Amino acid sequence: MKKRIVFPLALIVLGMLCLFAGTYDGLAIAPAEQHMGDVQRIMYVHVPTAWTAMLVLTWAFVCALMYLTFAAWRWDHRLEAAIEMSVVLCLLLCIQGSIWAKPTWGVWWDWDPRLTTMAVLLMAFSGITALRFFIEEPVKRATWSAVATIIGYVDVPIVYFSVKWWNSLHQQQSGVSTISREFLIPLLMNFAGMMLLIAGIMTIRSRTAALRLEEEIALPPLTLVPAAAASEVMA
Amino acid sequence: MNGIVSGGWEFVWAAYAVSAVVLVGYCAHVINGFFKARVSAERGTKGIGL
Repeated sequence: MKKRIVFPLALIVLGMLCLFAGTYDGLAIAPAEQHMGDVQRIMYVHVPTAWTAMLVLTWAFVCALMYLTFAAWRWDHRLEAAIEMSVVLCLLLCIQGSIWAKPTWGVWWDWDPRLTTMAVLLMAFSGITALRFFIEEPVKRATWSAVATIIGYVDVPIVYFSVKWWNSLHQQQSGVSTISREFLIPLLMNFAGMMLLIAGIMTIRSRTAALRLEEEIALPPLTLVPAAAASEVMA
Repeated sequence: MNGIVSGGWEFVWAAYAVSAVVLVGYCAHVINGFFKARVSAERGTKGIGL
């Protein structure tokens, strides 16, 4: 089956345009915050990354549930894309948070509840990615990674509520009503850009997973292939 | 010490640069992986006569 990626590529281009506009607004137009000064501009990239990461992790959880319920390969392809994207976004969040922490908290890292639970999430999803890499049998790989995703997702609400449940260095979430309009515009533009970009990337990634599975199923182990066909495959 | 953070543009640039490198790098990796998988799948199915 010939797979095309025109639509997801268009999403990526649109997402990048939104991100350029949001970044320009956040860096050049929005005023510096009263107490945190220019460093607060990191929030225009850190907060959209956090929102997107939470949504992608929730999507991974939904894909895992759907795969276990319907046993349809398309949910496994989507799960593969979502797991990989989650690792990238969690890693990015930790790096951005570290860069933010140094000028505001005075340290690059602190074992505070939010940061610790986030690091656990990153480790969990990195582990699921490794699990998928090492299991060769497609059904076992899909089932195990779906179960592991559901277990790993337990940490997501803990990450979200950690700043409310425990005494944390990390500030609590602000609501739309508590953010000034000048700060909200670059935040929402970058969030929209991030969502479009990630939707495009994940669509392409899940199509790649489908192609790889197609090939995996089409190609029997070389030892079982008749000699003439094997030489054609090797060529 | 007055509780106000001054300066810090180098941290702002660093955060945006790292984000751009990670997102653009991963995006390029995914697109490249798709084209490789497509070529490989086409070659594979042709090779075994499907």
